[in-house]
Amino acid sequence: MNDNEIKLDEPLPDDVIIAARDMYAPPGGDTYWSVLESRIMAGIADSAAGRWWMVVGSWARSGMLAAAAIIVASLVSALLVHAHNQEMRTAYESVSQPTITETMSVPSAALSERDGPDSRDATFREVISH
Amino acid sequence: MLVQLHAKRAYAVARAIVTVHEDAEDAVQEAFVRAYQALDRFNLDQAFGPWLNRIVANAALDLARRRKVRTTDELHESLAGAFRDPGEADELKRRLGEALAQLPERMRSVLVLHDIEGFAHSEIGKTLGIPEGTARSDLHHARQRLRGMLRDLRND
Repeated sequence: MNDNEIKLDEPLPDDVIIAARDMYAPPGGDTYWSVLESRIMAGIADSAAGRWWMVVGSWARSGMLAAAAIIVASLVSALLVHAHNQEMRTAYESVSQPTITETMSVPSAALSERDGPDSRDATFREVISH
Repeated sequence: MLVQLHAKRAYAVARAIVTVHEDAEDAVQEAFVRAYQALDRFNLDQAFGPWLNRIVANAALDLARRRKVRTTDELHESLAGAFRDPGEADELKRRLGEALAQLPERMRSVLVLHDIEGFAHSEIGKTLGIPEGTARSDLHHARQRLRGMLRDLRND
């Protein structure tokens, strides 16, 4: 087949065209088109709302990440402050509290008191036996 | 308003491809949503109608692909029966519906857009994304096949 044959192509018979137009005719009446227009506009509005939510969603995600970063930073700084305070307290206590040797120098009377009556009797018998 | 201005033409394009009225409505709605979303990419130097028609055709083709599960019998019935007057047995419409359903999708779209909706070949080419020559060739073959399928009816 060449281009001339295509150009000379006969159209379909009129009754076929009329029947086909009838089959494919869009619904008539202004009401139908108004309803379809409303439906289309509703679809566009939904789509616009969907896009808006997507934008808000991305903002929300960014916000959540920022909030998480702030929380982590706060926790880390709180831990650092706590560790620093602990260190300071330990250093202060090491200076202000008595040493171990001081703590151990208990008076002898107190020691003898702590030994009890049996110990004193034993000491007494030891002394008089000489 | 843009929707009001272009809805009928958009419906005609969609209907030429999906063949069923309800699917054409869905395709038109989907196309307007797509057009709205792509509006920032629309070149103001070009005409809006052909740009929208192309989007409608793509939406209708997508829908037609999703509807491929529809059996041939269902397609015949939808074409021949959707707008048939139930009180009148219209043999020509029934046979025409069956014949159109047997045409390949693109051929049928070209035939409907040209012979029923009055689109020019160049317009069909832009709408369906095919060369103008292909639209001419498709129209020729579609008419030829249709004549063949309706021959016995016309000899009655």
